[in-house]
Amino acid sequence: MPVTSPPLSPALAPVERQIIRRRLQLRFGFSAIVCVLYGGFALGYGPLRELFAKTVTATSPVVFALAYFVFLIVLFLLLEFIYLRLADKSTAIGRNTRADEAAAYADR
Amino acid sequence: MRIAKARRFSLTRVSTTVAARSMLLILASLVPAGASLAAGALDTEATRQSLNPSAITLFLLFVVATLGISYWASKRTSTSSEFYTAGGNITGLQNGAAIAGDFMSAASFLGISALMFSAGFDGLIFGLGAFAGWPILLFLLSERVRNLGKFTFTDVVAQRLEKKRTRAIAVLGSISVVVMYLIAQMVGAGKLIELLFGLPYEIAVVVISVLVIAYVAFGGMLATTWVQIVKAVLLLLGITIMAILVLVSVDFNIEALLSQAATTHPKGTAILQPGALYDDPIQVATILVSMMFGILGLPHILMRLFTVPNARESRRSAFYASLFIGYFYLLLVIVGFGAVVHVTGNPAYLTDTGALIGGGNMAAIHLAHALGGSLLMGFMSAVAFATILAVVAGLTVAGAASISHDLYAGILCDDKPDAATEIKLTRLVTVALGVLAVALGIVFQHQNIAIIAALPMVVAASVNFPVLILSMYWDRMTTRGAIAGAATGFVSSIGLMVLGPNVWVAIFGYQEAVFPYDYPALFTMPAAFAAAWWVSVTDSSARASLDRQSFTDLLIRSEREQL
Repeated sequence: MPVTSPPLSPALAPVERQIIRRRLQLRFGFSAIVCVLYGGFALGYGPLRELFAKTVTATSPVVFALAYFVFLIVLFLLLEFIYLRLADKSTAIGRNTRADEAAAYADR
Repeated sequence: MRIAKARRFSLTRVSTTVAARSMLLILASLVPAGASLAAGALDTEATRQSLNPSAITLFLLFVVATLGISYWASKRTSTSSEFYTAGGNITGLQNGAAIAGDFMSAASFLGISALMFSAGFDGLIFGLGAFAGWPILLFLLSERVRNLGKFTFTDVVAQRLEKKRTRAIAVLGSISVVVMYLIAQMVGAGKLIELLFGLPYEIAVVVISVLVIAYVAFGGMLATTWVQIVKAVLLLLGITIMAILVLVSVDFNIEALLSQAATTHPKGTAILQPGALYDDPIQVATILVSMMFGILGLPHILMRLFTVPNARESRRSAFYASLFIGYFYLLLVIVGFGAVVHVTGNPAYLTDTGALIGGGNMAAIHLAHALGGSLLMGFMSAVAFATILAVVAGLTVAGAASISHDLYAGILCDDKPDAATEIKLTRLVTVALGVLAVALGIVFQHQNIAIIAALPMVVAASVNFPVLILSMYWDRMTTRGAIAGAATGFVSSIGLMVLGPNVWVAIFGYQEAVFPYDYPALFTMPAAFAAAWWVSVTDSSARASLDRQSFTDLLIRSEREQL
């Protein structure tokens, strides 16, 4: 028998509210990390200019600015991958919760 | 000694010539697609190339293949849903590749490598800006937009707000961005093709338009998707080959590549550090903000999120798009510095006056020739042409959807259109947009491309993004707030662009700009948010309370489909 949804209610079930809150935290948390690190790149043209112009080792021509550019791209991809895994996990939990809810609704 | 001095002078002159036009290049590069980036420099310094047989052969192969795809897709495109979103049957991986194909461009490839050729590291500001919007798209937009919308982002904005007025303001933002983007594409594309293939400008824009009409009018989003996928694969293949050949030339030693670049370039080690082009952090911040948030308000990119079956695939597509785009920009570091090493001072690529043959944007194409001869050069030229077609096709679908779905079906028919009339209108609008693109391309061919190229990103960041994000995430947002936010963003972005260096100095001829920055999104986007917030919190109308009450319902629907 297919699982049917209960009608949408203005009041969210506590478990569902918790899932949505958790997702919001994830979304805004990850976005904040990206924005802060991204903003840091502009500082390389201001207060952190000297640091960004320094080479990573005494003999290498690679400066911190270039290393930071590569680091940001790799880190953002990693963050996206982590988010994807967490979102998949959250979807699975949510789906089970919803199935339970639907079953309870059908029993009523 | 004298010869060495003359050679050094020549190199300095090449670099200075290119750098003097770098502002135009940079501005144009903010439209991350097509060849708009190239156009600023092309206006003044491009010289038409002789016909390149391998480029034309490879391009014709691409055209035949993509027309075949369009024919195949036309058999599967009969309803509105199939036309706008390919029936929602595209997988996350396919859509990710198509998004990357829609976004990565001749501008990214030719323009950023040209900037690195002239100013080194600072060219990468645009690479980072063009990449950083994608993680935010994944975190904040991909799932909710997919769950709430049907065909366009306007559907999402109109979900809980008063439909007609909200749609009208969202259509204004959407159409403005598409048309401005289209002008920038057509002008840049015409000039780039003139440069790469030796075709006259007018013929180039007509060829692009006819091909795009064929793809979109017959094959809709399905054909557009596959054209974009093919283009993404070709572009990534091309840049991978170039990066590998550059690395082979330095025995896979990146430090050796950088050292050689610093030794070869007239600016020396300064090209490896920030500051060769910009030294004002606010200017850099304005570019970064315009790029990141502009991406999040581009209608043709947001529209792609509806082509997948569910929110899970939508977030996957955002992730895959990031992966492809990130890979592209990482390789661009190697290609950019490779161009410095292999092209700078190479007499084969310099004119008698010491300038780069074909203009500054040809650095990557010359590099392709230096690394792989005429064949690789022809391949990369054909890829550049293909990138333009894919981007213009995406824009045309988005423009057609805005007019026939948002305006006709949503506003004029109250969401109850006759299906056959809607699809007929969509095809008609596609042809009209193609004709309009040719006309605008020809009318604007002598205009300052920089301003045309900058506008869509700033408008997208200041009009579309604030309204979209607040309507989905802020429970107190009201219809009046949305209208106030969009109007403030629109007026302030156009106003500050006019007062900025691109118009006030470059077009009006004043000595100094009233507003000092080229891209005002750092200021106009917060202004749009502030206006939306202020009007929403002070709105005590009956409609406002209805808007606020509908938020819980919207929240559940935006999250529930995936629960």
